[in-house]
Amino acid sequence: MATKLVLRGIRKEFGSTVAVDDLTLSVEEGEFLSLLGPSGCGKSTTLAIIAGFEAPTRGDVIVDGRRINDVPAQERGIGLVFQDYAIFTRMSVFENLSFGLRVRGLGRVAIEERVGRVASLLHLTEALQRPSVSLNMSELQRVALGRVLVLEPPLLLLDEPLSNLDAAIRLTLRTELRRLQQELRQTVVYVTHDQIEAMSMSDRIAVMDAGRILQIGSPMEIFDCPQSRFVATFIGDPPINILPASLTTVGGHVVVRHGGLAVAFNGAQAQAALTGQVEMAFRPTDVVVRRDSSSRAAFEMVVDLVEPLGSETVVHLRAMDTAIRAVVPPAFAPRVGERVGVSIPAERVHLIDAASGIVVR
Amino acid sequence: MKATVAANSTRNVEAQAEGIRPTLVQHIPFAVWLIVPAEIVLLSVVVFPTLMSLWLSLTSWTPTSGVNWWQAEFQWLANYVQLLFGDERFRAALLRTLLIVVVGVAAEISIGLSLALLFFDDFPWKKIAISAIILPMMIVPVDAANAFFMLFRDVGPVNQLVRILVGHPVRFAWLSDSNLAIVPILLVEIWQWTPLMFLMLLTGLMALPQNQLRAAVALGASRWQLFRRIILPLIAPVVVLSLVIRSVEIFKIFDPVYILTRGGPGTSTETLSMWMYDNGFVYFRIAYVAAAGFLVLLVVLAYVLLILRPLSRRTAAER
Amino acid sequence: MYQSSTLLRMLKWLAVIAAMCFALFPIFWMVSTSFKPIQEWSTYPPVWIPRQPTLENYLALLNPAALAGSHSIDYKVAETAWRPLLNSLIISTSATFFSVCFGTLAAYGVSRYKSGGESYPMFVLTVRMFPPIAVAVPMLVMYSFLHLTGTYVGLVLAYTAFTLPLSIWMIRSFIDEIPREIEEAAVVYGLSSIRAFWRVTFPLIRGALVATALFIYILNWSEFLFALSLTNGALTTVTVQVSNYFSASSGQLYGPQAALGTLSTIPVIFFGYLIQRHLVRGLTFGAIKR
Repeated sequence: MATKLVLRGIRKEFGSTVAVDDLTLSVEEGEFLSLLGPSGCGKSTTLAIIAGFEAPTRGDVIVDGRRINDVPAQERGIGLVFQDYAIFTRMSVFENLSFGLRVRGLGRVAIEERVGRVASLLHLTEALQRPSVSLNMSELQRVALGRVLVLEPPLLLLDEPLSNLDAAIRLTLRTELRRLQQELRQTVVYVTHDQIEAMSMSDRIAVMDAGRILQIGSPMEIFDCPQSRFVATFIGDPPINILPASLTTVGGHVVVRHGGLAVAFNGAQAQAALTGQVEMAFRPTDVVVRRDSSSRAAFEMVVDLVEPLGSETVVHLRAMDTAIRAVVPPAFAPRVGERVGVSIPAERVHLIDAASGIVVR
Repeated sequence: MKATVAANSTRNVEAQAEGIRPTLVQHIPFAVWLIVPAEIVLLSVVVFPTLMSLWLSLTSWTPTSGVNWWQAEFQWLANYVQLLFGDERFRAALLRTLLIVVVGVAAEISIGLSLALLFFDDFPWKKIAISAIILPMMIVPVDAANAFFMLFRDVGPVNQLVRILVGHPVRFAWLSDSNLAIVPILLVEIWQWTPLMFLMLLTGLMALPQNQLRAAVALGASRWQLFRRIILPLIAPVVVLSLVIRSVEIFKIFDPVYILTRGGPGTSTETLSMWMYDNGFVYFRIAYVAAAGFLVLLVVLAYVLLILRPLSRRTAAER
Repeated sequence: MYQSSTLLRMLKWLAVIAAMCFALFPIFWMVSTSFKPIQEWSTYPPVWIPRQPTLENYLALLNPAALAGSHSIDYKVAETAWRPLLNSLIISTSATFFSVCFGTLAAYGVSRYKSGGESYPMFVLTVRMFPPIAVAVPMLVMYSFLHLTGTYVGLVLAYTAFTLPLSIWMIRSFIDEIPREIEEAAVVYGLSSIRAFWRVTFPLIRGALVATALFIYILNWSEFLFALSLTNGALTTVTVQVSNYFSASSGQLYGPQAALGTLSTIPVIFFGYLIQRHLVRGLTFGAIKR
C-alpha cells in the first residue's frame, strides 16, 4: 500500500495566533482518515492547507511523493466537498457534475461518458437535467461528491459534510458515504467534530486540539487506550468518568482511591504514577453494577437518575461527594434511590497525571 | 388585510377610550393615514404639476401669451408631432443624451467591475484605498464640474499632461471645441459615479457564496473561468440593477453640462435636460417643453419596466 | 484564493494606485487652487502647488473687508458667501426633516400594512426616474401663480418631494429587517399599533434614520437644478453661488470658486464617510445592503 498524503511539520500562523502547530501525518492509499476535534482546533485550516487555499507558514504537503506546497489550488486536482456542499446554484445537475471536466477542456463525448458513469454510480442518472436548486439533501450530497469524483482525484477532502443535516438523514448518508468510499478504494481525509461520525466511518482517527494532533489510531485504539485526558473525555458517549484520586501502597499493591471507591493495582503497574496528583478515569460501560451491595469488593452507591436509551440504560450514581455514570443492560432496571454495589475492574481504569493530563497507565 | 383589520380595531378601542365620537376621519384606515403626509407633498409638488404639464403639452401656452394657463389654446398633439418629426435640435439632444448614457454606463460598469475584482482579495491598506477611491461620489456635483472646468482649461493641467505624453506642444481647447467638449462632460460623470458602481459591485461580490467560488477553484477553474462561469452569473442581478440605476441617473444629466459648456459650443453638447432648461427658462416655450417632458417620462418608464420586470420575477422565483 | 505572481501583484498595485490618483486628482486641484493667489490662477504651465499660498480666496468669501486695499480683484459679484451658506443650511435642514419624518411614516405603512397597495412604492419611485427639469417647468408656472418662486417654502417643498422616494425606500428596507413579531407582541400587551412602532421598532432603527437623514441632507445640500430654476435669483444657495463667481475685470474667479467648492464639500465628505456603510443602500433604493 502506497502512502498517498504526507504532512510534515506543518505550522500555520494567522498574525500572532497559531492555528496549526507542528502537524505531521500520513495517509495510506484507500484509507479513510478523520481529523476529529472541537471547533477552532485547526482541523479546517489543515484541510485548507491540503487543498491549497492556505499556504502553510512552515512544513511540507506531499501527495504521491511530490511536494505540492507551490502548486496552486486549481492545479492540485484534490477533491473537496464542503459542509454546505457549495453546489453551483445557477447550473443543472449535469452542469455541476461536468464542471471540472469542462474547465479542463474535455470533448463533449468524453464528458458525457464520464459524467454518465459517475451519475449511475451515485444514482443521479434520472436527475441530470434538473436544476440544482430543486435537489434534496441526499441528492445535494451526491452531486457534491460526484462533481469531484468525475475527476478521479488522488485524494478526497470532506469538510463536515454531514453536520448541517437532521439526525435521520445523517445516519443514511453516513452509511452511503462509507460504502462508496470502500467500493472505490478512495483515499479520504474527513474533518468532523462529531466523535460518533469519526468512530463509525474511519480506518484511523487523528484527534486534534489547539492546533496539534494529540493521538492517531484506529477508532478502538482511541477509545480503549486514550493517551491524554482530552482524548479520553472527547471520545465516548456517555462521557468517561474522571475522579481525582489518592495513591496509597498496601502490601505490594498500589491502591487508587477516591472517597470510598478504591481500585488496587499491582506495584509495577502504577509505579510511574506514584508521584504527583493523579486522576482515575473509566468508561461508564466498564462499571460493574450489582444489586447486591453487601459484596466485599463493591462500593455502595445510590441511584440518582436513570436514563433509559432502549438498547442500554445510563445510570447516574452517587455516594457522598462521588458521582459517576454507568451503563447497564435495560433488563437491570434500577430505580431512583436504590442502593447498588459498584466495582471497576482494575485493567479498565486509566490513571491520568493531573498536572500534565497525560495518561500514565 | 389582516393587519389592516387589526389596526382598525385598535384604533376604535383607542377612540372609545378617549371618549371621541366616531367621525368620518376615523373610518379612514390607519394604514392610509401613514402615507397621507408624504402623499400631500408628492401630490402638490409632483403629481399636480405633472397633470398640469399634461394639459399644457396639449396647448400652445407661453407665459408671454397674455392668458392664464388654464385658458390656453388647445391644439391636440401638435407639440408632440413637432417634437418627433420636426425638431432636429430636440432629436439631436435626445441622441446625444443616449450616447452619453451608453458610453458613460459602459465605462462605469467596466472600470467599476474591474476595480471591484481587484479589491476582492484582501491586501494591506485596502480600507484606505477604498476610502480614497469612493471620495468622488461624495463631492457636490457642481463643485466636481467646476474642478473639471479648471482641469480642462486650455492652460489647465490636462493639456500639460497631454503635452508631456505626446512630446510636443499641444493645446486642446477642450471646452470650446465642438468635437471635444463632450469629453470633459463624460469624464466628470464617469469620475464621479464609477465609485458608486464600484461600491455596488464590491458589495455584491462580497455577498457571493464563498464556498461556491472555492469549489470551482478546487475543481480546476482558472481565474477567467471562475469569473466567467461562476462569478458573473451570480452577480448578474447586481450588475443589471446598477446598470438601470446609473443609466436612469445619467439620462437626467444636467449639472456638468450647465457648468462646463451650457450645451455649447453651439448646441454641440446639448443634452435633453439642457435643452428643456433652455427652452423652458430661457425661451419660455413652456407647453413645448411639457410635451417633451412627457415623451421622456414614457421612454424612461418603458425602459425601467422592461429591464426590471424579468429581474424581479427571477429573484422572486429564487426566494 | 489564487496565488498571484510577483508581477501580477505589482500590476495590481499599480492599478489600485492609478485609480486612487484618478479619484483624488480633481479634488487635489480644487483644494490647491483655493490657496492660489490671483497671479497663479491662469499661468502656463499651470501651478500645481501654490508657490505663495494665501487665504485671500477664503477671506474674499467670508470677510472681504479684510482684503480692502490689499487686493486688486474686482469682487463686485461676490457678496459674501455667508448668505448662500445660511440659505443652504436652512433649506437642506428643513427639507431633510420633512423628508425623513414623512418618509418614516410612509415606510412604516408600506412595510407593515402595504399602505397604498402593492405598486405604491414603484409609483413613488417614478418621481426619481424622469428628469427633474421636466417637472421644474410646470412647477415654475405653479410657483409663480402661488408666489412661491424664490422662497424658502418653495425650495423646501421641492426638495422634500424629490427626496421622499429615497427616504421611503431606504427606511422601508431598514424596517423590513425588524421582525414584525416584536411589534405584534407589544400590541398583545395592549399598545396601539402606532405606539408599538414608536416604543419598539423606532428605537431599533434610530441609527438607521440618522444615516438616512445624513444621506438625504447630502442630496439636498448638493442640489443645483431647482435652486437655479425655481428662484429667479431671489434666493441663492451654495451650489448656485459657486457658479456665480465671475467678475467684470478678472473673468472667472477661480480662487474664490475653488475656496467655496472646498468649503461646501467638506460637510458632505464628512457626512459621507459617517454613513459610508449605508451609502450603497441609499443610492440603490435599499436594494443592495451590507
